[in-house]
Amino acid sequence: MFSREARAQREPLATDSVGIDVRVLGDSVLVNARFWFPRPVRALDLTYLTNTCVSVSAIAATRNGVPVAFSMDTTRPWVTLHDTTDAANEGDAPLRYDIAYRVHTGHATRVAIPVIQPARALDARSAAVTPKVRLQVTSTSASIGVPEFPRFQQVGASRWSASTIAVPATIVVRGEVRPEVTPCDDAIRIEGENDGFTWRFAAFVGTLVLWIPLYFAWATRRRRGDDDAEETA
Amino acid sequence: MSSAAFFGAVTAYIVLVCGIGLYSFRRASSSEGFLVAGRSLGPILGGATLMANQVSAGATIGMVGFHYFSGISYAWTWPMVWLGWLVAATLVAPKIRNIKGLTLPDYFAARYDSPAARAVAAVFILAAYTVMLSAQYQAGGLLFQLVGGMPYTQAILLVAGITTIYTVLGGMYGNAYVGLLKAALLLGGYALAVPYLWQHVGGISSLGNALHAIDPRLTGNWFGWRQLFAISFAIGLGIAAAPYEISAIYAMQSRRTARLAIGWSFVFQGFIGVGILFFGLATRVAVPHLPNPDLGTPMLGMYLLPGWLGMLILLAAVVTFTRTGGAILLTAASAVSHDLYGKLLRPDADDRTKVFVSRMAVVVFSAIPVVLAFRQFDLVNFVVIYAAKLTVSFLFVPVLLGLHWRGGTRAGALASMVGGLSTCLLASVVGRPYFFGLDPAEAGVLVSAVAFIGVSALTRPVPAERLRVFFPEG
Repeated sequence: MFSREARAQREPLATDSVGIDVRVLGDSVLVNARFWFPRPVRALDLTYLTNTCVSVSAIAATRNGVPVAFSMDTTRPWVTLHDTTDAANEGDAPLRYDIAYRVHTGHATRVAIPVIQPARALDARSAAVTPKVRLQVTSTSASIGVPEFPRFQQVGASRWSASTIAVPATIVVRGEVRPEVTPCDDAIRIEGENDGFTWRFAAFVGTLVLWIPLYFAWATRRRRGDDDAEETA
Repeated sequence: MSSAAFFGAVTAYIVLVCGIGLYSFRRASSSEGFLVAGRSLGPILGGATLMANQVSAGATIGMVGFHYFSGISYAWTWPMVWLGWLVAATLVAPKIRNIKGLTLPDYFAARYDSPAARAVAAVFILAAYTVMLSAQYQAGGLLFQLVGGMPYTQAILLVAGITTIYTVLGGMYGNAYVGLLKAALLLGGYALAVPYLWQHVGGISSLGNALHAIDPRLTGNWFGWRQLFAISFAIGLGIAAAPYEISAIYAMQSRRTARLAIGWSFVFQGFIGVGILFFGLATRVAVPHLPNPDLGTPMLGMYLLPGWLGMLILLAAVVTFTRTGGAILLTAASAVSHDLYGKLLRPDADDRTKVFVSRMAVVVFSAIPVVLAFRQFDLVNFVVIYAAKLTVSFLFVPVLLGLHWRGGTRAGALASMVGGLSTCLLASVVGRPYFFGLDPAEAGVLVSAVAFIGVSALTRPVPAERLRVFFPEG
């Protein structure tokens, strides 16, 4: 066997609970995310996934209510925020980490709202795998903001909620297309480099597709020993 | 989708399986009926059976997790493993059907005129399949734990119970029909889920862009060709001599049916392979920081896909691990009841007694891997790969060379099995990842081949009349 490294890419972050509230306001979305960590977390990197139809602005975060300073690092389509706060004086107290930001959405039938999250897996303190991430979406309009991905349950007129075991990269909601405004692409598009991934994927699928008729061409040729009578002799 | 709905669907599946089992019960009342479905499987049912044996929880849960953490490169094991199926279609299936056997150890007894070879093969198969079955339980346990919110140990026991019930009831008949159900669920579920995910992650180019920025190896070569070859070597050649695949080949109507069934299994596998790849990659982008990659499929079913579609994917996963677990149990049960009890301990036992012992063996053997599954030694797919390495190390050479080289002797076969397995075990312990430049499975097969040829050259040949069934020309 190889190793247990594959179990998680990096050491998981012990987490009590996570709450992410998304308020869809039409052209923009307000997101508030709260993370409760049972132990102090000194250097915390946050990350989010951008796409062509949205832009993120006004990011503000606090550690136990104290504002946080960030440095930013972009490897499109992911953006990483390095928390540069000196957290040495926080002692061993549990940490509540709050992040708030605004997402400007384009006009498309489907909008992927980035969710800023720690750049490490969140792990429960106990061995049990239980949903500890609570997501909530509210919208000012009944026609837009309906969440499509991940799966949500409607809990009010324009309110939806979900609980999961990990934070999604984006929350896809139904958007609005106005005839007078140039719409975004209908499909969600994530920009960046992929080093020939599309061709690799196509080559893999093509190999399987080609293999099957070639095999059947060989297998259907009748040959000595095929007769059932011969086999049962 | 609630836990209650999921367990309702699982209960309906169990009831259906019990129905299939009861329907099959009368037909499975003889050893030939219970173990090889009365040699009645046609190409499509046979293809579904072969696919259902290979596409285990190691694929629907473990491989999704593999693609989640390592990207696209692991997908190339599919066509490389299919080379193993070609070996099965061209070099193993046509000849091994000559003996009208029920189990792989039947072949050892017939080819090498040796009860000892039969016994050693049966015991080694039991050992390797204990590891393989533990992977099925582990995958099922993770799924039930997450979906049902139950402790992992209880989840494992529930999975073992479900697998045991339907194997006891149905035997190979039940396995074949549930194989078809498995194919339908996997094909239907994946055909609907892939376009849905495609739409929500932005298509293949967007997916690649997001993955490449996480880690360029996800879109390139996380696994190098050397590693992919080592894994494919173990799984592919393991399939060519896999006891449960050979039992399925015995269960088909004719040699031609066996060849066509392998083709149909390619159709099923190809479809599923692309779906599994897309699931793993899309889940990595949709939820980039899962605490355990093996939770990819449960995450998809529980939280990402629409309720009914998620249910389909989760149910397909349940059918996968119970069905493959059933095939493994059936093989292990046949090793005990047919090879050890029926042929060595009580050759005079009547057929009803042997079937009863088969069913008891299923119950007893199903309990042993539970202990391994509790420990969760590694990711599900790594456990499956390890079991495949063990299997290929002691089976491939005496099966393949034995079918095509008259000079193989019983002592050669015994030396080959013992040498191959012990080398693979030793290399797994001391060589990480390679042992003198060889993967443990490669080292095991090499030693197995050298021992087979060397010892056979020095020992008394098998009587010519025993070999006539395999070498009629001379």
